[in-house]
Amino acid sequence: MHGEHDAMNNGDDRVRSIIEGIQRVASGDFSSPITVTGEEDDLDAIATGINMLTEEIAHRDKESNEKQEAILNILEDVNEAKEELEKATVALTESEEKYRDLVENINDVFYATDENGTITYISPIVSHIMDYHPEDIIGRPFMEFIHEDDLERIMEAFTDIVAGNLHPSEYRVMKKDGGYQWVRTSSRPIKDENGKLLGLRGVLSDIQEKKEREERLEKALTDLEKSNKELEQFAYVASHDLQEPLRMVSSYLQLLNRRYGENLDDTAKEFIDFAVDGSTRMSGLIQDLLKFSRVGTKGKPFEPTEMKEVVDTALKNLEIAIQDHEATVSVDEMPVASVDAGQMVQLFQNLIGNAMKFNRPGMAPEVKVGLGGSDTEWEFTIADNGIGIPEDQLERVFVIFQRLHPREEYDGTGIGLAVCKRIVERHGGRIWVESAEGEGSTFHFTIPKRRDE
Amino acid sequence: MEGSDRKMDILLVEDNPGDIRLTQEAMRESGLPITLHVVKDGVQAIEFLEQEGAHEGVPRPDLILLDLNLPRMNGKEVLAYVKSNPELETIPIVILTTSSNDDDIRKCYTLQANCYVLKPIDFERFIGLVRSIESFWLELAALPQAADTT
Repeated sequence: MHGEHDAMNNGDDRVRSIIEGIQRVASGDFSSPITVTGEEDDLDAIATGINMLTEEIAHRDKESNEKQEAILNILEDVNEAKEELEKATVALTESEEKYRDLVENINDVFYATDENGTITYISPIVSHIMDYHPEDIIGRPFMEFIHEDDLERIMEAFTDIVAGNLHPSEYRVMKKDGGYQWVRTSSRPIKDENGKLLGLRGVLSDIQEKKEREERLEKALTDLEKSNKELEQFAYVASHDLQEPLRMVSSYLQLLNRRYGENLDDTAKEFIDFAVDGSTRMSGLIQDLLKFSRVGTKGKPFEPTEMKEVVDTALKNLEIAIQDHEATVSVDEMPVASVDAGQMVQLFQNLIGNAMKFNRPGMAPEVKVGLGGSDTEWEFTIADNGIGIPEDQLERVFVIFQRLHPREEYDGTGIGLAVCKRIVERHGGRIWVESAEGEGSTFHFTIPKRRDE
Repeated sequence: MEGSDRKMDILLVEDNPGDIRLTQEAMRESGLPITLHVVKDGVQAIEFLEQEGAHEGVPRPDLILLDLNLPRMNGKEVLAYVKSNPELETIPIVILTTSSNDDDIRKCYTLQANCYVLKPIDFERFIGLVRSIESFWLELAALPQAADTT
């Protein structure tokens, strides 16, 4: 009986334990299975069944959790990807805006033709250049719009481009109003994999202003050439026609003196001398003017030249003057420069000649030919120990026919340094002088270096 | 050389009367036995040399003094004519001009001028020049005899 009673009480406890176990599972706690008594009765069977279910549920719960986690991970990845995508979208939008800006602000016209040269595409901006809208142009042959004077040249250029020699072409296209407009095109042939021509693609730009500038420049150049020719003609006239009457004046005065000198008194002879001297000087001036004008009109192209040889030639030409003045001339190392050699000889000859000529009485001239400069230019110097030049006269010495000294002291027409200046300027350089009165002068001139020097 | 035995003939082609007279005076002072023939343009020069028209029977000159700036036919044309004519080409031609133009000088030598001389502004030097020309071309230089055209 006791046993039965016990069994009864025992039975209630077990039922409670089972209920508690179910409640634990229901609350998500799968860690404590229901105690199985081992009595192999219905309650034990129920407890064992519930425990098995609990295990199954725990297993599924774990799997579910794992899956959820995986899903969360994926979601996270997706979010990250989404953020990146957003960023990329922003960047794309920005670059698209930039691109649109570029295309909208660019004045170049994009175009395409088929293999026959018929226009298949042209950007709307074409209306700014040709007044035509794309629909007026598409479907028409490109050649139809080219100025007839340019047509042959452009046909040749297109053949060249199709052959693969890419180069821009400049020509006139007809605008809607029938006027013409200078454009430049850069085209590229489009071919299929067999090399068959499909058409051309390219960019067309407005070069009207550039062309007008070029034309103005060309006209200025032509005018300049014309005026140079006129100057040369003038120089020829000066050398010939102006000399003739002068020669007559001076020659016949001399002849007069020769034949009738006996009948003339000293004053008359003196007058004749002045007249002859005057015409001789005038003849000299005319010759010098000729030399001056020929610097520009008779110049030779610049070529790489050994400046040492130039200076040597100048010194050789001055040999007698160097001996007469008992001068010493020293020459630094000289470079190779791109010059008109003949004019350079004249330049050095004039400057070295001057350096000796304006010497201090009783003092043998010492002339130093030196070299300096920078990355972009050579600087030549000709220094002397002569009388020097007053500071307020430094600029004046380069002006044509300006003389600083009375003829009796230092002879000359005042052309030498003006010719020097013209020669240096023709070479794109500068010339100037530094001087201390009574101590000497140093003439400087520069010659630009060429890229290959 | 028979230079000093006979009178020499010089043809001066010059259009400026002042220059003609000056040359005459200079030759007079030099004292050489010279006959100076003067023509005033290129066309007359050719007629003289070809002994045509008014110049029938004139002697073949021993020397030609030729100015460049001439009416009707200029000095270079006369030069080219003479130097391409087998009967005349051996006559020495001295260009006597005021043109110091390098192109002129070059062109004249290319056309076989024998000498190119600038007229000096100084009369003394002019006399000296004329004397030098005469003594060099008529006394010093050996020249071929004229082709026998008689």
